[in-house]
Amino acid sequence: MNIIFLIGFALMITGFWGMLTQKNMIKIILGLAIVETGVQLIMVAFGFIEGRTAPILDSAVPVKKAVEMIVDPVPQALVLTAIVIGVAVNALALTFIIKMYQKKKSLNITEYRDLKW
Amino acid sequence: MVNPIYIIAVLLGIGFILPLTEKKLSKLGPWVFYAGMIFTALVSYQWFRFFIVSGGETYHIFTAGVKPPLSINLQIGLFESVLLFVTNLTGLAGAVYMTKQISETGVRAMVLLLLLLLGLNGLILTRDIFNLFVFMEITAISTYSLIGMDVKSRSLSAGFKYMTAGGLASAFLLLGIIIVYSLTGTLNLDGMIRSAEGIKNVKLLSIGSMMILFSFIIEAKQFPANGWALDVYEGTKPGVAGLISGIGTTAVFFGFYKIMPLFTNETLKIVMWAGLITFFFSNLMGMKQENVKRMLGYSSVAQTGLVISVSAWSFMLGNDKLIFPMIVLPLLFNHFFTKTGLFWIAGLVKKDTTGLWGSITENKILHGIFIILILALSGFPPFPGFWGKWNLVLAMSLDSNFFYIWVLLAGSLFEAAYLLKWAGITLKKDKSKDILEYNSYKMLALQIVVLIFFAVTVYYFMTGNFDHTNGGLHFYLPFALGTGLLLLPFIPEKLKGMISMSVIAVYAFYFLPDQNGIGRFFNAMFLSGGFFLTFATLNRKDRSRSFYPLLMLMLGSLIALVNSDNILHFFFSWEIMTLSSYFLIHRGKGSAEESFRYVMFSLAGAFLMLLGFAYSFPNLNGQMSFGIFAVPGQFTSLSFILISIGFLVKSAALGLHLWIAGSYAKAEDDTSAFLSALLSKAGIFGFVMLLLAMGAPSAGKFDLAYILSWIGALTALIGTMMAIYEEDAKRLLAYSSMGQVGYIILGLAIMSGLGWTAALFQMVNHFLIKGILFLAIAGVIYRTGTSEMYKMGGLIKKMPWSFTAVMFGIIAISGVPPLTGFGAKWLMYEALIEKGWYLQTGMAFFASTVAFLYCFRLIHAIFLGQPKTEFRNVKEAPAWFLIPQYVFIMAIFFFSIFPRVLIDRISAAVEPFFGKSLTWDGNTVISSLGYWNATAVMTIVGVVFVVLAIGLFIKLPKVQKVKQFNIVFAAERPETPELTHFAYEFFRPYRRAMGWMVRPYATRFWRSVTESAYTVSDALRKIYTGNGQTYIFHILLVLVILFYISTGVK
Repeated sequence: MNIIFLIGFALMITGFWGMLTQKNMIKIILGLAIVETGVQLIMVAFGFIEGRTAPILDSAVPVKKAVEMIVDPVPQALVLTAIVIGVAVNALALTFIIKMYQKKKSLNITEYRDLKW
Repeated sequence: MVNPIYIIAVLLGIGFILPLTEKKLSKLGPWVFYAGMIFTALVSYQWFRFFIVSGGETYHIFTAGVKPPLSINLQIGLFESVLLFVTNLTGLAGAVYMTKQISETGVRAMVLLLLLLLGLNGLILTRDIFNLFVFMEITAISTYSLIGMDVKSRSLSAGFKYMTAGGLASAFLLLGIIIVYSLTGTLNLDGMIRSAEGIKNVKLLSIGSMMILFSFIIEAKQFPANGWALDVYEGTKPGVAGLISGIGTTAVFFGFYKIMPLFTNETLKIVMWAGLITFFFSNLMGMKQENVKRMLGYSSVAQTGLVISVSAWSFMLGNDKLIFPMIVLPLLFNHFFTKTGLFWIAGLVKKDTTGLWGSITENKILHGIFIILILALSGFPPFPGFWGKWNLVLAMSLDSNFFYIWVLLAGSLFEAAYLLKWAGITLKKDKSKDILEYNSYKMLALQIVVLIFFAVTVYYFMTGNFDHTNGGLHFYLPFALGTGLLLLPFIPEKLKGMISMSVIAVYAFYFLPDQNGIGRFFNAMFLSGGFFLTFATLNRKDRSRSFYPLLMLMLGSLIALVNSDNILHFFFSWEIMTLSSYFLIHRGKGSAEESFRYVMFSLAGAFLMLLGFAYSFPNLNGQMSFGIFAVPGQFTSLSFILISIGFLVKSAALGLHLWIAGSYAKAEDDTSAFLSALLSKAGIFGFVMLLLAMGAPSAGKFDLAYILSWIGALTALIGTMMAIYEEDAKRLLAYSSMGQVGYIILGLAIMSGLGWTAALFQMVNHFLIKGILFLAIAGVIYRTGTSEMYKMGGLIKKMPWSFTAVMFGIIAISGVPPLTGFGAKWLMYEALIEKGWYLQTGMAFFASTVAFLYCFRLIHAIFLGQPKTEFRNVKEAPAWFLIPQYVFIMAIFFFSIFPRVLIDRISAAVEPFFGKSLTWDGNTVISSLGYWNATAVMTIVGVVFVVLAIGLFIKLPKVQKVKQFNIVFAAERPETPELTHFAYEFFRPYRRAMGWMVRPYATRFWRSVTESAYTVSDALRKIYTGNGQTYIFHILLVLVILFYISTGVK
């Protein structure tokens, strides 16, 4: 389980690195997406319980025994929501980038500094 | 009552229905939209009324029919209902404001507004932390889209920066939530808070809560992780920016507020100081700002920081239930309404830089609203921000957190500086005519918001901790007239003046007899002075809606100051006085810079005074009476010094006198008389109260009264020295006023019965004389159109009445017998010698002699010599000016012949504190050092005068009249009056000898202070480079710092 945490953190760090070093706005948003993926991974890892199965009630997991058989379902529900929201925000950001590109023909974030100080 | 969950359901439902039925319901769409908005406002109003009127218990609403932790629950209590109500009402107003935009973009804008409101309502209502995250994201996404609707490079790039910041914030919020969840096993906030205390893994918990904190620090736009926010405020359309700054910030703040109980005291301490740092630095950086929306952005960020800081502190104290309504809510409301309103006004005026805002004057209502909002935002009474800050300062002092108060007031001063500068620009009429677009919907929306703000203001004013039983009518009434006149702009000017005079008279008739002691003495002076000086204003020809209201507010605040029973009354009146006098001075031509300087000095002084109050406030366990100064406390001398500085600023003491010449000179001519004769006595009254309450404490080895005496003596000397070199009559009188008030301070510093008698005698003397001189000069300026003395000359024949008035005035001021000035000086020297302060005596005597020099100039340069060609046809000053002058002259004569009438009254006021110092033998007053019979002196002088006059009249027929140029100078015949009347730089030789005394040391010092403040401001704001990546770096930097503090401090 620890390895998943580590991967999650590594992803987050990678994302930060991307956000801080890449001038291309699309890459910055990709950096953000990587950070989010890392966070989501860590979230799932928190709910994980050794030797249990996914919290889906079907023939394999009878309702009455579910509590003992499945991992904590809450983080999984949260992650689902988080993924949806993350996707929405990233999509919106990309549309912004497209519109900005249409105006200035540049994806370089340093060119968009009209607003400052 | 309607379950608040329906608010969410209806907003969401309409949000889904609208796009689906866009084509079928195209006409009906907006109606459904507004109906939904109105529904939410009504539901929240219902709850609001329920909690306010019937004081109901907090409600919990459970979803899915089960209790938490299995379901999400909402909570609505008093605070939630209040916030919900204002949020939904403002949201509705926002929809009205954007009517045009909505009709252009159609369904999209409506859906986004609905979603925004949905998110905000959810943020306020929910008690589930993950739900909080969801609502925060809904708010964020709808805000991003609203920003992006204005498809311009600026708003898009601002939106993009916002998204990167928001993305990071939500990532860390998730991380924090999952960590805290893994420890507490619940997502329910109450459950989390309950079980957080028993957690063993404290380190992990603190990391989790630190991440939640970090996320909210970004969302709440705290320094320095807020560059993106400033860009958003600048780049977004004002309608949206107003909503973000108002309801957006409020809801995010409340979300933050709900999380705070989860934090440990160490974390809360970080939040408290981080908020204060944000407040301080944002305001500092705002000073250099000229872009309107960005400036509002800085202010917005600052205010949010303050509110957050106070909330964190309230949880640290465990006193949040009390502090929230008393401090947090007024501060929040003040920010909420003023910021929304100002952003929306920016949308109507459509000028980016503050310098171009003169055109707002075209719409009087808009301009009025603008000024009111600026004043409210700057923290002036009676607006909620004032109460919030006042309560905050006092509460902080009880917590012995004085450093906090210093930083808070410094930040407030910066904020007032840029806001008042902006307001000042709009008050100067701009010649360039811009056609403003008065979109009626935008105006309507603005008026809705301002109306709610007024209601809130009235609420806080009524519950604002006044001691109603004691202050009562005495205290409120003086403000009523000014406010009343402001509401009657259509009345003719003369009528307004007469109403003012009669109200003053009636007030004096009914209330003066009830008063006693020193208060009565001061009030008699303010009321009689106000009455007669107002008479002079009847000469006004121009119509003005603001002059009489301001004048009466200033006078009223002076009277209220005297009537005040506690420090709140005192400070409240003091602020109103500062404000009204600032606007009065600002009315003068070319006065912008001078009045700004005046108000900044006054405000800084007032804030120091407030600090002084704060240092003494804990002395009586939270009572506001003046008694706190009488109890010896830990900080008595510091408190005394700070309060004294406030009064010294108002009295224009040496070093703090920068504002005096400019503001007296640039104010309108009749106003200057009020300033010098009456307003300058406010500081004196303050000293009287302070010295009576505190005595004169000593700081270490230094006797503070002794230091004060030197300040008084030096002010007297240097003020007089500066007066003699002035060419401008009003500047000359201003410095003269400074010098004369210096004597009064010197007299008070003696701290003996005789000294105080001398000081108060001198004060009445100065009041009468400056009334005469300023009005006489006003008359001369009114006729000649100039205040430069050397341009005049020979006016004695044209304006004999004014000449006589000035002559009596300068005889009285110079302190020679037989007029009152002599009595004042005689008492003063006696008191000084009695005290053993010989050096000060010498200095006062020297200054008094130097005063002859400038007195002489008033007569010589203006009235003597040869008349200039262009003034050949000037007439005597109008009777409006002359009548009050002669009333004052009669008063001077009366007090000169019968000083006992005045001295007895002064003694009655002073003797209870210092004992008897003077005895009377008929008309002769006897002190420990000598005696003085004013009546006899006057009689002798009168006899000598009559004898000489008779002699002159006998010889008069022999006088030969000559024409103007029937003279010869050095074998030349001058042909122009300029060659015969030498008045320019008359005392140049003295300047060579004594000029070093009047070099502008203080001016240089204060200029360097101001310049360095602006330089720091400019350098600091450069951290916001405009590069989105820099902002990401700032955010991550804050993360690192927070991580370090929260794990390293333990």
